[in-house]
Amino acid sequence: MSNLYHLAYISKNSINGTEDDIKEQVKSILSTAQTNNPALGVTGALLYSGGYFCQVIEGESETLEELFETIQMDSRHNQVTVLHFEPIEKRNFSEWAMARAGIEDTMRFDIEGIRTSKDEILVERNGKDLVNVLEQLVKQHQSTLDATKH
Amino acid sequence: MYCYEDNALKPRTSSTDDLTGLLDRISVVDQLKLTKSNSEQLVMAVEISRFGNVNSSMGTELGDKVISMIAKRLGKTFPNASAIARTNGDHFVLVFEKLPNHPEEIARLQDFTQRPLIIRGEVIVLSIRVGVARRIDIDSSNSTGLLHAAETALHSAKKSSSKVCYYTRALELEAIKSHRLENDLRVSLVTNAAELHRAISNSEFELVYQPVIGTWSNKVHAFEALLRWNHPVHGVVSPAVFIPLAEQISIMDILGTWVIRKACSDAVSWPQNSDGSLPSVSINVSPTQFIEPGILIHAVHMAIEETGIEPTRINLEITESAAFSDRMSETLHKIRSLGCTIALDDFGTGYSSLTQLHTLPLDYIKIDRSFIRNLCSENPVEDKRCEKLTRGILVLADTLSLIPIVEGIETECQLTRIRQLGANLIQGFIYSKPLKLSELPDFIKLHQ
Repeated sequence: MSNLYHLAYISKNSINGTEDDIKEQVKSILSTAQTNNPALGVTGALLYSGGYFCQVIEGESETLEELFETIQMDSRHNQVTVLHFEPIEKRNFSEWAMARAGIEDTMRFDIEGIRTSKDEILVERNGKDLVNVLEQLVKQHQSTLDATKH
Repeated sequence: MYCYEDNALKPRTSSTDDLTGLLDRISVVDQLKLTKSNSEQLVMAVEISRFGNVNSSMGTELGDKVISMIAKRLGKTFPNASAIARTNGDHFVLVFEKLPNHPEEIARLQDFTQRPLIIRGEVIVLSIRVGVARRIDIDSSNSTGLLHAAETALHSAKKSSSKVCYYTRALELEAIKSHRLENDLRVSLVTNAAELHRAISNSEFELVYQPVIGTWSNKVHAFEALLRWNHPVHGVVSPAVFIPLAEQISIMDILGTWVIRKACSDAVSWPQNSDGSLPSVSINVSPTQFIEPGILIHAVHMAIEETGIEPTRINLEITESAAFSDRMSETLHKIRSLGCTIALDDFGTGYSSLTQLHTLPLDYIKIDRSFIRNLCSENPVEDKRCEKLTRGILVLADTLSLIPIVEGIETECQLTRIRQLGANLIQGFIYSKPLKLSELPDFIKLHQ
């Protein structure tokens, strides 16, 4: 039986600085993940949206446990809320060690509402929505890049 | 990193906790002894709240994993700590030689330990309590005194359901006083237990009675027996203090039996109301008295036999409890079959469920004073809210054929409003505070 899981979480940015500083830090987070993840067999996507990080990571259960602990202890974010953590049959982001879904100034979702919601079913649904939205954004981003190349 | 008071004093080899690799309790105490005392020193004692639930629901193996993950988080979050130890089970201690911005650091401790943990396909979110002791707040120059002070603060945080508590001298004195009182009461209860078992009367315990008035007829419907304890050293001790102790040391059956027999024996001496009816006697029963239900049933039997009281005059009051069980329902059915009545006390404050209201053999529900407190309040929103809630409960009682008794009526305005809502039976200071046995005949006469 596959031990493949995916995990979606949102967290609040705690990087101080200008918008450019924050963008640089997000790029650095992406770059570190892109370097380290292939060896761990981890794939995923990261969106920075209006002061919040939205990330999906996919991989073996034990690997995700350890990786998530490292992510957790990063002081560049706080108020970490796990929206979704469950086994999957196949990866949504198999081609990306850590895809950039976007770096946006304005908030894409009602993240604060999701974070403070006491409704577990709603949080779960939002977790699944987040995975879908990230997948769409990654594809959009990728097609823009491809179009630029051509 | 450590400063030793005397070069001749070499640190012992530290022993570490096998699970986490942190220092253990003995080692942190040793280190504190060897550390040169400085006025900026600070110790945090940390406990993971309700960790037992993690162990019992997920197993000790995963529980151990949680502990070791938290230990790692502590190490990563506080590289500036001079010592981090796991002192016991789910308890940790952090020692800082200097921590000027401790409120922010405590917030960081809470933040990092309370972030979600991902373990074997489960997401776990913990919460912690923290006791903090600062060197400048303690009298003792002894460094281990600082550890003790932090643990005292943690204990106090737990007791007051706070997340963080700072040590103060007043807090320690309060803890000492509270411990002494609790210990004295335990000794007295255990000592009195044998005596209570043998004798019907005991001069230290006394029953006082608060009337329940039928407002439509203005007669005394019942007197609720309330237990008082005149402790030889501590004076009058509140039942809120000694009943939980009596429950803990399993003597509630003995005390409860004494109350039933004494209350029934008192009740047969009460005069009649003017219409010839006799006031009932309401007796509180602790949930722990249902653990050995045979004792409770026997006590009621004995009281009826010994005193000749009409069983219909005995009303047992049970409190809402999470532990309503089939056994409790069965016991109440047996007691009711003797002719006694049953009231559900403090309705609405505990674990009421409509199923329990429906399945337990109840005759009365006592509407808790908290619903009445803001009736006639100057705040019209609160006033309206209280009225609506009370009206709702009265309708519910009527639907289930239960007789409501409204507690905590203190003012004429509340009395008028409650009567307008259709309630008849009232208990509260508007009629009387609890009375001594000797005062009851005059009270009954007054309500002729």
